[in-house]
Amino acid sequence: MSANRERRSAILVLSLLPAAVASTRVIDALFMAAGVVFVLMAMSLVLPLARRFGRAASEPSEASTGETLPREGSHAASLWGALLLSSCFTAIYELVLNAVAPAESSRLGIYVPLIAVSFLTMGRLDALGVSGTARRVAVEAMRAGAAFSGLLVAVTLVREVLGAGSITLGAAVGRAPFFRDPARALGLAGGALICLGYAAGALRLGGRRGAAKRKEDQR
Amino acid sequence: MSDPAQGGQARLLLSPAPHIKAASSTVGLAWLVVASLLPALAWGIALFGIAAVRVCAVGLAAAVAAEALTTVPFKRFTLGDGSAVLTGLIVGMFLPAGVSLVVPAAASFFAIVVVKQTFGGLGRNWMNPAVGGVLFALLSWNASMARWIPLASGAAVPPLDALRSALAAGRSVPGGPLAVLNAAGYPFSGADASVLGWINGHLLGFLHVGLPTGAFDVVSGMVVGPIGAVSAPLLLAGAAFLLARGVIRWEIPVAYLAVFAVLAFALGGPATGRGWLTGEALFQLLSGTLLLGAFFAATDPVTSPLSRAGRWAYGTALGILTFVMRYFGSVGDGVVVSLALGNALVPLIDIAALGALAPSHARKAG
Repeated sequence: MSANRERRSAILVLSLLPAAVASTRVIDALFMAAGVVFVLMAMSLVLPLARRFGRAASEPSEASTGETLPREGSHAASLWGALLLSSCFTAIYELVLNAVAPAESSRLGIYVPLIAVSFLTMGRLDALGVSGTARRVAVEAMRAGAAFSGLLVAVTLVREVLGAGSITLGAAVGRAPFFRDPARALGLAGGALICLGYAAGALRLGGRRGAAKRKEDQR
Repeated sequence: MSDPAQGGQARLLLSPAPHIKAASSTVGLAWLVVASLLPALAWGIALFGIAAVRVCAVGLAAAVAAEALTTVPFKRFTLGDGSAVLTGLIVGMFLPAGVSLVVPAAASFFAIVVVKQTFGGLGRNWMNPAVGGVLFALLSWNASMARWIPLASGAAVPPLDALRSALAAGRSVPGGPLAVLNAAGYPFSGADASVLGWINGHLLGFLHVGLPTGAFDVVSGMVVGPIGAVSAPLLLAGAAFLLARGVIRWEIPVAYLAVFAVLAFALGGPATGRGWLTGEALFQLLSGTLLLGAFFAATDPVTSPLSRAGRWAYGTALGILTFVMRYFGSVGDGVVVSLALGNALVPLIDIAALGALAPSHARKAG
């Protein structure tokens, strides 16, 4: 597995920690995933515009190309700016969630604001600060959001089925009981870590197999 | 060294430790531990009957099946080393006989698949597999794990909630936990009354002291509890056998039990609403899974420190942790969760006690 791919997998798993611990029901995972996807997509759309605006104010000739995001020089400043933006988008999502689903909002509590400083968001900020066209950044954000959502929902599904014996998809769908004697330890924070450990292992295994296949194809 | 057969040339043999050749092997050691546990298990089966057989059989079968499922597809055949049988047996012995059969199956499966094989198999697990499995069961099925059943004598045990309430209400009552249990209607045996009557009348009478009702039952193992943990004499006999054969080291259980007993005696009284130095150390030592854990789980060579100083430190840490967990915690009797936490400390203890990284860690770091 390449170092870059391994780094992305590690960021993905680390970013899942607070969300996975908070999500003991599938519906929780869906709301957390929606928040992350919203913040990532909004940032990938707004951040390039904000940077172009900043660069246009200081160096109008370079900014007129509009091709690339700023590189080394303004990295630290752009990181702080992007962090501020991600906090704003997270706050927007939190307010919307509170208005639309107040019960879910109070269930998830402090874990929703943690989206702003999650490893995934920080990792995306890092990518935005280093290089890449705006379109590429948006595609990357979409991919990261989809991977985050898929993994979070899968981990929570396993935890809820085995740890609570049910699948909860909100008031519309209800709660489907599976069995009476579930392993409640999987619903605890430790259960989330165990499931994430296996998810990380699966990602590594998939990465290794992919790398081996690519090598074989190259030959 | 000079070897005439090699024409007088010096011949240097290099080989990894251990350098002393002995007849024992991992396979033999595991089966020896299994053998040492059998008397205590037989006592539990005699007390609790067919229910105990069912629980232990399911635990054992699940452990063996999990080991086979996780090794045979990779063309590794490790069932013969006895470690899976030992894990299943210890899991069954830590459980009460009235537990749902899902519990031993899930605990053994978790122990083998998650705690052992996920980390690379025997010798690479950081936590004792049986301890991990029982902890999983305690956290998952807490109510089921306290489902005691009547002894073979047929005397019904009051529900656990009633005993808990009685103990909570009687904390400040003199006489300790045995007096409280007696007042709550716990069925001590007829042998207890006869033996204690004789001891108190003939041996302790002139000292104007006496053993409380129930003391004989607790010492002899005629009480409800986990299947394999009720008989202190048989557990001690099994431990003595292992110590004599050099299978386990004495430092860990001695430090563990001594530190726990001192803390229970010195601080156990205030923790239960009485004065200093009034704790029921002997009752605490003989009840719950303390002896089973101290001799048969804490001494696991894979998850205990390498050095003698480390083993003392580990035993001391376990004693402190068990005291805190038993008196102030809510997960079982505190032994299993203490062992799990203690296992997590072992690499740190090794580093501190050896003054450097253990060879296996050093290789990775280098």
